[in-house]
Amino acid sequence: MNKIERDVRNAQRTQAISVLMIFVIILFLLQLWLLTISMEQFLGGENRLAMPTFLASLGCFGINLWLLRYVNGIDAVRGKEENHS
Amino acid sequence: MADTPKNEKWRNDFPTPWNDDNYVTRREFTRFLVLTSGALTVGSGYFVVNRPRALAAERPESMAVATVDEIGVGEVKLFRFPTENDPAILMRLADDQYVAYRQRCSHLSCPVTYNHAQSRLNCPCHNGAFDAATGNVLFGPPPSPLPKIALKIEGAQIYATGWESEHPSL
Repeated sequence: MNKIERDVRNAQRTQAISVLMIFVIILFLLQLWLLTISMEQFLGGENRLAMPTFLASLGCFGINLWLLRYVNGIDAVRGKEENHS
Repeated sequence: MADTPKNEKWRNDFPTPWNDDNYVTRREFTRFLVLTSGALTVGSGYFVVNRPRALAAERPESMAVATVDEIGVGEVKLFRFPTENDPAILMRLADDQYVAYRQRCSHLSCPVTYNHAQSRLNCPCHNGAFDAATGNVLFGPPPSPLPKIALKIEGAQIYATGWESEHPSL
């Protein structure tokens, strides 16, 4: 793999990671909001929404883990390419 | 310019080529966010496991909180009821009118303060207010009235005897 090709691949990888990172940030902020709802309810003496918010948060975490697989996948490909060159 | 030999010692400390900087920092940041996302899930689980106390179901023991002459009209006395972790406020609204409430706002548990001129309890955190005589919400974000403490006056002594208001959970 020549230098130009390597640079293009690096740029593509960086872009892919950036897109994944944006998705993870969105889900993270959603989880933060859900936690705030639970906490606010708890301090107000109620917890009707505790279970739904927990399940939603768990779902977000699951999606984040699923996205992390792609991050690791990109990294694995990068490692292989570096070893070959 | 010739490449630096690969066995330079500084490469152990700085193994990432400069043109990979963005890639590596974003990758590590994403991993950190996923880890923190797990922590947020655990945090949400905490509120499923720990339910708020149902004060209305509690039957606390009667407790002497003040004497009738101890506080003047418009004055307050802070005390703890029913446990050391529960701040409460006793107020003398008129010569023969005493009321006591849990001192935690029903919104986010900030301590409320008594304003005699306005005859209300104010929560400074989010600008909520409760009626001093009833504990009902006057305005602001609190979703429910202040839990009212039942009082009994025997001789010159004022006793807190339990909860007067019928809240499912406080």
